[in-house]
Amino acid sequence: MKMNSASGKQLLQLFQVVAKRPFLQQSFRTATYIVERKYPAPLAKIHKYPSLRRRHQVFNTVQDKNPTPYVRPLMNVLLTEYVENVGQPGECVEIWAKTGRELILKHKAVYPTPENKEKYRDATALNIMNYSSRYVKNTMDILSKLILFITMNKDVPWTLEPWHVRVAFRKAHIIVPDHAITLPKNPIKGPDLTLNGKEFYVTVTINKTEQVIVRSRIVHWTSKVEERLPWVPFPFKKPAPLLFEEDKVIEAQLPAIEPLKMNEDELEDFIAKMKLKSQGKILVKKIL
Amino acid sequence: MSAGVRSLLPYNRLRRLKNTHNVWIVSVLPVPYQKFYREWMGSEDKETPVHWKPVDSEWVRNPETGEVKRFQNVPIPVLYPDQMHEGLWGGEGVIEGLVKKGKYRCPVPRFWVPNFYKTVVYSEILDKYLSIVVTERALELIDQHSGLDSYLLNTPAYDLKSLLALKLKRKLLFSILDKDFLVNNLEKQTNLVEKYKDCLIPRDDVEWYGYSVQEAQLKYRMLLKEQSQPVALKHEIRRKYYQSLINKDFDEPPTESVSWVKKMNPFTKPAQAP
Repeated sequence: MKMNSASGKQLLQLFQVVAKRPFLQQSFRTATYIVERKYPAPLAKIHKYPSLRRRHQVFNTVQDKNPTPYVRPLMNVLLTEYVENVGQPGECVEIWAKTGRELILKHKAVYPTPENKEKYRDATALNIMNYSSRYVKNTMDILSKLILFITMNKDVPWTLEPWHVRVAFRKAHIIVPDHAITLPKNPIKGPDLTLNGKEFYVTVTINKTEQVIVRSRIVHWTSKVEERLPWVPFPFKKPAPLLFEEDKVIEAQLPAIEPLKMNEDELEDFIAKMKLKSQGKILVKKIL
Repeated sequence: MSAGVRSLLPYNRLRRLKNTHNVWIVSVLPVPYQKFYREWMGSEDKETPVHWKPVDSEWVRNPETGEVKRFQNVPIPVLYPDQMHEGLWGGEGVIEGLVKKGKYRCPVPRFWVPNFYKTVVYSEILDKYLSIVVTERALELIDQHSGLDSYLLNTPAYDLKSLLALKLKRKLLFSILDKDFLVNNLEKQTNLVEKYKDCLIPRDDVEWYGYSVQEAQLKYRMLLKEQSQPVALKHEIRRKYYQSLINKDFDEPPTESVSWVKKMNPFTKPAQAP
């Protein structure tokens, strides 16, 4: 096993070295070649061609490949109908040239010529979806699938406030301001281990217009290692009981949670591996 | 011919040397085709340089010494293989040359070949999707002209180069002249005809536009054959007779013509009084 893993690593390193070589990078090239004479040609009389030698055929490549780091070529496009994550009708958008050309082929967009701009000036009336910006649909999709784990203290008493939720969002790589978060009507107080892992709903307003409901659960945590709650495998793949019974109506509207794809045997193996890993971490900490 | 010899020849002379046979054929063909061929192959000076950067000024100052010298643009020869005529390369071609990889190493031959895609392009006038081989430069040019049709119609033959593009252009020109495209949507048709009003050329030129030399030769031969073939007289007489029948009115009563012999004959019955 050790031999295999080592050889795999070596192969990967070798591939990384080889992939940087110019003859492999050529296949990703899209720019046109521009060539220059290494030894410039001699002067001839006006309107005459100079006599050339073999050395005048030696060329240097001036423009060879795409700029590094690779930048996608952009293109302006005028949309004729609503396109997800791109924009609204009548809007002039700068996007990747490849997607822009595809949209034009499907008649979802046109070139932004002055004639077309006059033609689609009143196209904003066709805006059926009425999103406040073009990234709203994408963020709404992400937030509605998210399960937010709010870590709270197990020792010190607290009541849930918007800034607790803000910090939990930040841990999930989503930045939400305080005024955009609305908590449930009933106050949530702790520390209370009966709350642990139960589901309630937090609403987030985007651009002060669109509202999204986010699943959220409270997890208790202490600085003392011995008093911590046991580790649960894949809590975000399992449905949880509701904290408030009023929320049953909202639960039906939300998209279903994706179940775990592992077998029971695979799961056991996975848990054993993770335990070994965690033990190792603790041991290292104790030694240090 | 080795790699060295080809590029050492003068750029304009090289093409002419290659085309000596073709030039002889073209001199016999009709005048509209000669006009097209001069636009396509005979105007090297007007071509936009793709693979090298020209200097606009005739005089250049040396930055170190401050010496002023005359400067001459010497174009780099580009090869256009036969496969170019099956796609849209946007004026790109293959460069053949040498590369020096070290100070004390002898130069090694190298070919600079463009990168190709197979993509779909949409033509507004023909209302058709075409799947063709294309370079990135061609796609950028189409975007600059905002559409395939305006790219083909506005660029001259010496920049289009490929026969596929020229044939498409001929089709577009014919459809604009005849106004037989987008019959269901007449508003769009009139708008497009007005848009490409300046790109039009006379019909006689369009009929000989975008043919290769061999194709034009074949077309001219067929034309001569049709003209020189003797036509039997019976066809024309029959045609005249049919036309006379068509023009004749059968409703009118035929006028009676009485010969003078009948008038003189005393034994004939006299005409009945009305």
